[in-house]
Amino acid sequence: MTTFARATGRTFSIRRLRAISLVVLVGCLTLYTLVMFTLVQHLSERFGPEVRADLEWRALRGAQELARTTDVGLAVSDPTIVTDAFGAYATASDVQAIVAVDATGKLVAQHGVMAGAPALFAGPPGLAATGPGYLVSWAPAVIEGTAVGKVAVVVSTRRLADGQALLDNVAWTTVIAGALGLVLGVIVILVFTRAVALRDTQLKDYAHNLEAKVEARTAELDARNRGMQLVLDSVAQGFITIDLEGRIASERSAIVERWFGAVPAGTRFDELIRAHDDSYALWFGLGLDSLRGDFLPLALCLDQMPPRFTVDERTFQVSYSPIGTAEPVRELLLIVSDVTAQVGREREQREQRELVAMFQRITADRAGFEEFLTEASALVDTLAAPADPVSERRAVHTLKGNCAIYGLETFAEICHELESALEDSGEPVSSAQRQTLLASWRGLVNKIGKLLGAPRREVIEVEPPELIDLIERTTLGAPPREVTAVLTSWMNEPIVRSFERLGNHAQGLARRLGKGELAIAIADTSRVRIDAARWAPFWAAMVHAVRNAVDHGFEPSAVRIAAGKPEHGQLALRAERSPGRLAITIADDGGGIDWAAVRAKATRLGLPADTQDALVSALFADGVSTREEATELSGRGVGLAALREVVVALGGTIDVLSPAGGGTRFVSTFPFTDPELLSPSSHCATTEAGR
Amino acid sequence: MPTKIMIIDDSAMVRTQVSRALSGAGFTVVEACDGADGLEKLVANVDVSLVVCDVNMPRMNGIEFLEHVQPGVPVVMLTTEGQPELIARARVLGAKAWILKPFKPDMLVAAARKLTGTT
Repeated sequence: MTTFARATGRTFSIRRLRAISLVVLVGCLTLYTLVMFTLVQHLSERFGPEVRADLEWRALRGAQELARTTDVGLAVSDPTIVTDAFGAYATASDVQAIVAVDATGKLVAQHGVMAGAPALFAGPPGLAATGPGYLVSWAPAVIEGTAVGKVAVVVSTRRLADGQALLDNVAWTTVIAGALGLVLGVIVILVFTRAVALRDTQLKDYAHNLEAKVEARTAELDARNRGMQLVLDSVAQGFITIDLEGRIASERSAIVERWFGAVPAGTRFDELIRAHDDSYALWFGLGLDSLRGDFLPLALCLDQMPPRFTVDERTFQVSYSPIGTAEPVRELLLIVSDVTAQVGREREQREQRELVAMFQRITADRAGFEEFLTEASALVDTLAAPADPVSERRAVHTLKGNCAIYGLETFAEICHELESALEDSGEPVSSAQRQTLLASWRGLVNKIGKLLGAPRREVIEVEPPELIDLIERTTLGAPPREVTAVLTSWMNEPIVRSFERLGNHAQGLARRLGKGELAIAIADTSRVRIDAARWAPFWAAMVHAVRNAVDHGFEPSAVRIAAGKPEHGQLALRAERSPGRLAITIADDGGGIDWAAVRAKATRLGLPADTQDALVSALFADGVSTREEATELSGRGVGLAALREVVVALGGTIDVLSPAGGGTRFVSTFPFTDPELLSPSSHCATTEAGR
Repeated sequence: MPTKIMIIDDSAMVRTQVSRALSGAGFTVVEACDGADGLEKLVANVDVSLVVCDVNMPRMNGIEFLEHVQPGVPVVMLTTEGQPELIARARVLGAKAWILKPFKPDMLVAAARKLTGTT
């Protein structure tokens, strides 16, 4: 049943409305009819007697007055006099007729039409008699006591009849009007309520259809939502919608809560992650700030959002997509993937590659590798406890370089990141950083220990020419002291071994940097062997000079060809002996040192820069690099300072020669007096590019 | 009249990269090597519409530059991934935005166009 809702909340039905309307209508019309009918009846009852009395009075009064005015005319039976005497009565509207007779009863004068005149005088004078449609009254005309005639006045009762009829009509008209009103009212109410009911039915149908459609649509959407939720609950990725304040919407994949715990309404994504990865949360907040500010292109803002975060040793990758196409963007879709396994696989693969590289190194040059390990462990030991920040940075830098040489990429990267962090913060190595570094190194040493296996047998390598030379000397009667010196020197290592290691490193580095092959020339005219343990720091520091040459010494091939140089970079490693001195040179034919850049950097650091000597000193100072951006390989201005420090520690000096475009040559000169280190023959080897 | 942009960075290489990218897009570029140099050059270049500023610099760094620069000139910070706190500080001091190094030249140009309202 259709119902109408009122503002008050009460409802009533069409049927009830119809009943009430009919009752009110019938009641009103009945009351109206009764009132009107009663009123007319009342008027009718009052109207008849009053009009009749008035007419009787007019007839009586008229008869008496005309009896007086017509007495003379009646006495002489003169109709003219009598007619004249009728006066105004003759024209009065209600007077139907006036009849005057003489004393004999003879008609003298008559006004109006009235048949049966004598019958008019049948009754007594002074009373009104009623005839059909009239009233009549007569009076005698008397002159001095003598009756001279009679005058009768006939008054029409039509006015009375007409009025009565009119009142009757009004009464019945009222009744009929009431009845008609009732009928019409009922019809109108029925028609109206029927129309309303019809409309109501239609509305009800519409509402029903609409509700059915809404229900169907809702069911469809619910099904879709359930399907979507099922998808969201089943996917291995976290789908999260956030607004630009970072607040997480309720629609998200179930895995999000499994990963990060409960997500109360209104939680911001950066709040959720902050406890685990503060750096990510900070960059995330800044990224949203950029999006809100709408100062940068959307693509750049999204590109700068932080891509990864870690939660409890699990690594998550995030991709960011704007929702909708309108700019500025209002919401973002975050797709979070757990890439821990992938990162782990990559790390394992990398470690595997590193292990293979280390194995190859160990196989090719076990002694060199063990020396590297000893030197690197010593450096790590210096970092085990807090020390002077400059020394710490040098140790990290050297460690990084040496590890890179021996294929320990992961640890080299850890060192690089630590170095960057130290540079950004300007602080010494923190306790946490120290622990991370030490733990990584311990893990690495453990793996390397398995590769190395049992300690190598102590074997002295002697080239056949060396042995032949000694035999010849002994045969020729060389003094025992000289023979002993040569034999003792065999406990040491020929310089050429270290040159070979540096050359291999340079070649590998050039390939990694896409600089092609290098032509490496090794020349040892010194014929000396050196104490590997004592010289290990020097060779470790020489790595910096090698990296400088390869990373930013050699120009691209096209530039070299244009400058008339060989296509491939030339790196020379030479050892020369002069009386009392041993000179070790590393020379490249690259672009040379940018002395203007050195001057600028030195000036900025407040170092003297007015002479070439001052510039050379500046070049070997901490923090001076001509490289504008530090890479994993070089550019922090630490390496050459470390090299000089080692050279000085060995009692030597270092110099650099680098004319513009003419390559760079570092010459380390050491005091050298002990003939025991003499090697029997010079060694010269050249590694050609692409060999 | 080309729009003028100032690059403040102690690295000549970064300045060259920024200049090359922006000049190629029709901007006029003024270079400064640190915050103090930037402030001095702003006096002579009042029509600079945007400042692209490094964070770590000798003499006067990017944060100090923001503390001294007249409000009204939009400043975009150039930064590395290790300095979120400094960027947050720069935003508080009025920097409009930040761009991570190494930047893509086309992105830098798009950012400059948006920030200066040029097409």
